[in-house]
Amino acid sequence: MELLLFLLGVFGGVFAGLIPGIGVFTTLILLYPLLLDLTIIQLLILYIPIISISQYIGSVPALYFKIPGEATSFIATEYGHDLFKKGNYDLIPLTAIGSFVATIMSAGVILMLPLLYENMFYGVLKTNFIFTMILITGVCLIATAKNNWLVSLSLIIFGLILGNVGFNASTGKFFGTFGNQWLSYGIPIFPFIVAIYVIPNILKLDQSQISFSHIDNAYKQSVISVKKYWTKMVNGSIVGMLCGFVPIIGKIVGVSASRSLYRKHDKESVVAAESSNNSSIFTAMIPLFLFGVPITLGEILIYNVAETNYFNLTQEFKNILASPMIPTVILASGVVGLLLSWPLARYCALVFKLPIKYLKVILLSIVVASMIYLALTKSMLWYYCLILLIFTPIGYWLRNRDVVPLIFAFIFAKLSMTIFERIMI
Amino acid sequence: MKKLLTTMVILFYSTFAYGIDLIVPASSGGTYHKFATIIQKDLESKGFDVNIIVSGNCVLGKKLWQDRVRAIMINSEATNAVKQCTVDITKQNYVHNFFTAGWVIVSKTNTLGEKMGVVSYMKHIVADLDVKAVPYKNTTEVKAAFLAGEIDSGFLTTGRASSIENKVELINTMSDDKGDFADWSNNDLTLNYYILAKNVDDKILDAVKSNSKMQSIAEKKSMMPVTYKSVRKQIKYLKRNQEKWSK
Repeated sequence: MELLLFLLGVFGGVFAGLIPGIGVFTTLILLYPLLLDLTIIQLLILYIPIISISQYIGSVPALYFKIPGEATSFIATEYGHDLFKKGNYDLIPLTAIGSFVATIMSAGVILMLPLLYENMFYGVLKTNFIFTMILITGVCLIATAKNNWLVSLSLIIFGLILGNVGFNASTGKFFGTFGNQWLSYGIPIFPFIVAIYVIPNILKLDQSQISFSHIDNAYKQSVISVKKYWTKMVNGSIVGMLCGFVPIIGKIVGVSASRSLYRKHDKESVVAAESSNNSSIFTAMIPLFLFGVPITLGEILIYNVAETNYFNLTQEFKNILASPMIPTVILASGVVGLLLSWPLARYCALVFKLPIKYLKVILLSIVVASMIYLALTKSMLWYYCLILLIFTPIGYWLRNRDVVPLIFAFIFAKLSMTIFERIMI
Repeated sequence: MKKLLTTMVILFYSTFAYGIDLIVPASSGGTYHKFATIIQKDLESKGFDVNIIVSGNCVLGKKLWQDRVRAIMINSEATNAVKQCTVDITKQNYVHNFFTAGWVIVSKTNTLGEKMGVVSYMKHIVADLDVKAVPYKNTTEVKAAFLAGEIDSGFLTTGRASSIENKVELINTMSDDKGDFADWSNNDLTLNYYILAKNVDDKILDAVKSNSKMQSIAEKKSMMPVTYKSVRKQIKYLKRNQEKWSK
């Protein structure tokens, strides 16, 4: 049963990383009926490969097609895709190896957790820490974007305004809804990103001559070039570990901060950012293991399901931590992720055998089909379509700008407002 | 393996089958969604088609409830107390009360301190206490803030509070002894998770009421529902409670 769950987790991770819009949380929602019958250990055996492998796989469509499979893939899409197009095919193995380095480091930290002084982690749950990290991210976004700083700042403000529309469950306040019930939901993230970023980039996609041999050579070369990028991988992983403690958006904070370390060198910044996202997903689990406090959407879901079956879940997590089970599953997921990225990268090259206009139609169809599926599950098809229609012209208008600050600010918006209000009390 | 296959079949089927709409007036992956999925699984194993709709928030949940001809909705006084979300509970639509959860104030120092963490939509509940209310999204966040030392006290469900070590419990709203809080107007506050339905076959509603998994959760979590034989009295109890939540 455990092995089957691990394999299902691997499949879920590939699914979450590959299909735009279907991230870890949506994958977990799709598996929800199954989760209810699982023990806490089984839940973790399923959950860990999903979060880990989605990060390995997400880089592939990001670099090939400039389509973000995951929210953290924006650094790879925006700053890695152009390099990849110019022949830096070793970005795929380098990001995969970077992710693996981060995985090993994270597994080591989690293995050592029972030996560490628990109280040292309380500080990361504090609002001041989260507020500081959000501020740092804002500065990183402005400093590293390819726009003039004023443009980036304007995009951040625009993103914060749009992202705050709707009902904020943390503050209990409505913003910009004008009494409209649909707007209370806010602007759904998926059609917004499709309109602002994905559609304009698919339309700009060029033909590529990439083949199997390019990818195979890139993997062979990466064994040598890994020496050059070793420190970037380690530094990215450390930054990711620290940022992983930021609730909900830790991964994004991590990739933004890692990129800023090497902002003048896109290739190095992409390698560091892709390492960072793999370490942040695991350190985000530390408050869950130590205090029974979930801080990411996926963890909240897992915690919610598990608490149905346990009287003292916090103690259960501590018991699990005392065994080497979690680091083992993390490492196994890392190995599978690393191994899967190669064949996946090879077979993606086949797609470019198609004439570019057909490829664009296929990619657009996949993205729109994902959006329609998500919208239908929420009974919001017309609302999603309306958001898509409203923001597509804006996305087209911004097509030559670096819109990463806008998108990240949009994702950060509600949390930023919540934290700001809390600081003011 | 069998379990996996069954789940995959349910997932496939639930994507395309449109039977009864089970409305979740909250976000995906939360408590309401969990309870709704338990109900859905049970009903589907008994041969009924159920389509869960997760509205994302209670405002849209109410709208979906109004728009649907035939639907079941899971609700609580906390959600229903929000003005934009209130769905009137009537003899015609009330079905069953699944859980009654108690609330506690926890502290580290045997006093409320300067700041108390509360779930955002219930800030007003502690308005007459001499403390600054700091809003959080849910009790998990309140617990985290309490552990981090960011708030001096927290208003939590008994279940959530039970997992915190080295805490002082200043009041349990379901106990008889209210101590220093005897005069507080909200010291008998409970939260009920109940079901509303419209135009749904009695057979289905009977199956919903007899859900064994929900009953075992109530027992395990000490959330046995407060139920009255008379529907009128039950509704009166829920409405009285709702008024306290919306105060």
